[in-house]
Amino acid sequence: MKMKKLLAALLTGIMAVSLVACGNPNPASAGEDKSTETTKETEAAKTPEKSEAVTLKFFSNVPDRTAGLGLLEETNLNSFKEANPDVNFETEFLQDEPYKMKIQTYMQSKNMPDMWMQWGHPAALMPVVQGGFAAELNPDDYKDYGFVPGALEAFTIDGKLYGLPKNADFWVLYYNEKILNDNGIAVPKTTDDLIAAAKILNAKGIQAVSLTGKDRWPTAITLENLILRKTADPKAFNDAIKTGTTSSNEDFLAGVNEFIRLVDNNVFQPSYLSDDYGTAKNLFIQGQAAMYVMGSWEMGMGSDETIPEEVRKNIRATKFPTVNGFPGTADDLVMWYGGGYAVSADSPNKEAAIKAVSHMLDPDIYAKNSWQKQIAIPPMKYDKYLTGNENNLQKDITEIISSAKSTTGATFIDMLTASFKDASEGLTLEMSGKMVSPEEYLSQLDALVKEANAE
Amino acid sequence: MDKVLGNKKTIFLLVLPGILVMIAGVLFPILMSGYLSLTSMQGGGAAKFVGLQNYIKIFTKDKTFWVSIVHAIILGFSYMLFQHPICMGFALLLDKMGGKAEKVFRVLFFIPCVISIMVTSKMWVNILNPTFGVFNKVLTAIGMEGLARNWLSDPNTVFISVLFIIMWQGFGYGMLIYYAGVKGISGDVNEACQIDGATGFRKFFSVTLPLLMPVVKVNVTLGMISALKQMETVFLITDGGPGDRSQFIANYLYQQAFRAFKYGYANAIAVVFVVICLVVTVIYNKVIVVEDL
Repeated sequence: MKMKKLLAALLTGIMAVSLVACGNPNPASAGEDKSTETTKETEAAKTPEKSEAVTLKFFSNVPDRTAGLGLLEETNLNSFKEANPDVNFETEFLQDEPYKMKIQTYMQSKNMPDMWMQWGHPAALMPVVQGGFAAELNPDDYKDYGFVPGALEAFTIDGKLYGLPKNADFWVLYYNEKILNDNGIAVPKTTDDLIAAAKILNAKGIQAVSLTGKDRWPTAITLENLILRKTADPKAFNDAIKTGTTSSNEDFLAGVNEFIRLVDNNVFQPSYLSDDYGTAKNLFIQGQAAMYVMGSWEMGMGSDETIPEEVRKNIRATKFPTVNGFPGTADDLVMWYGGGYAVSADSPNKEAAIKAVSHMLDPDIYAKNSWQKQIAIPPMKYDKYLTGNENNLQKDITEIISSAKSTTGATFIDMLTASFKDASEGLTLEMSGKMVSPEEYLSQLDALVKEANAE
Repeated sequence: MDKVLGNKKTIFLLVLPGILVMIAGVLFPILMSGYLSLTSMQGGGAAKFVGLQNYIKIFTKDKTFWVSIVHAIILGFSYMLFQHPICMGFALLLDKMGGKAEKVFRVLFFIPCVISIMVTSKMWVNILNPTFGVFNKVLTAIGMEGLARNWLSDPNTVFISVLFIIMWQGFGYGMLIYYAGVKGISGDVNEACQIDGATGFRKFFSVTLPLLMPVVKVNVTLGMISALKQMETVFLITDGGPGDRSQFIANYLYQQAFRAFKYGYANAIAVVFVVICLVVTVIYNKVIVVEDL
């Protein structure tokens, strides 16, 4: 009987061990994949803790810590550490989508990191503020940072500042100077100019303006630019989105109709509805399209050596065109703040975290490096960091942002929930493909708002 | 040893780890999915119980869900009406061909199935692109420029274009299975046909087709499964758009869960989808298996 029990236990044990053996033979290596996950302590954090040492948890959405924005963050954290030897950092980083999930988990468990990357648009910022997770910052502390108008407002709710922006993104019209010159076309200033240019270019087998429809949001933002030209009020459309009252406004309808006029006049490439981001960009950088509507972050095209030289050297940027008869000017920008930093209201080291975030965005560190290394457009004035060696494209982008008179601060698709963003982008594509009329588009948009508000 | 293995307790202990793995990996997620479908969960937040609200929305308001189902059914029937007869025809042709040509064409027809769906999908996107695609250029070159259009952007042509691409991608598999069936028909049967004077259509409908019916059943089953769970090609080519003109249920489910963050709703879609699959299976069994065509 004893033998029987022993054998049974032995067999069960073997089964369990063999099942376990099917797992990852080297679990330690799984965590080494930087692209998926992880927590990393800076070298500084590994040093023996001193009695007054403070360790700040920082959560970032930039997984690559060896280049670009990730490297800039690491450099800035280390420079803060040098100035404040008692402060250590524990950095956790994930890619955008898992980042969004985990920050929600932190919110649910009321266990926010001391400082984290925070998107400024209402769909992301409101839950953080309403839950009391973000610490209030003092705007007076940032008077000398040179933030552009609207930048701090993007992180302000009910007059209180809850974060600091780190990116300024705005919509521009890139153009190939040589193609336009060769065809006797002046840089388009109005949508009529665009239509006239399209007629000349299309007749020669060149696409006028490259736009991506498959990625959806660029089409929505292009539409928002045209609506802004009609309203001349950067808040009008976004406010109407919040209240679900877009269909009652004739100005919005005029903006949508103007978009359809551009589509009807073949301003965009015939396949734009099904072209993804890469395809639309390739049309432009391969010289098959004369113009390209996209965000300012594509400024790097001017120095991207993978782009053929004859195209790269001729890439310029101009303000998104105005519309004849519409009151809006080219200095009204659809602009938003792609990301920023916030500090936990419940952090035991709140003051140190605020100090660290303030240091990371110090214009002498952040604006200078992000501009000179072409990492991002800083949301603050960066004229004094111009080196004089900027290429034409960088100069154009600088001119566009420095002459801005007003900015929207957010795009309409980001005003409410993630499901509103998804549905409104899809609806915009249906409108641009003429599957719904402009009037139906606005009324269905209002219905989506009501649905989002009811969630 | 036999006594040990015959002991019920021992058997229980031996299968217990497997059962636990099944419970944790299969049963628990299914039950969780059922539970989450009754909530308004939106990602990492708390799951707020909303009763049957998600299901009511699917059945009363969600046009896209039903459009996706209809698209899957149309794809299933397209397999049966267009892809399978062509596959069978090519399988018979290959069989007749014999020699080296048979081997060469057999490989050629199967090549698209070996290449990644990502590659073939992007290839068709480029072929059909109205700006630089070769398809419209060929139409223009042969004087049929009137037919040239935005195949994947035009709401009127996008679905048929996607159907064509999906069927093209699955052609090799379908043909190979029929080919195996044709090869399985005994030479004696063909000889007997010849002696009896049965040739052409008569031979096909009276002898070949009945003998291929088991293979037809397999192919129809695989086709229906493939139609219902269609995802990758649609995601890569049109992402269901423009609008919902080329939307399929698995792609729609993915969008609701991972783009709109409506996890509760996406789970409800998954549950309804499973029920629909079960209903289709029952109907299929009644029509195909019971009648034993």
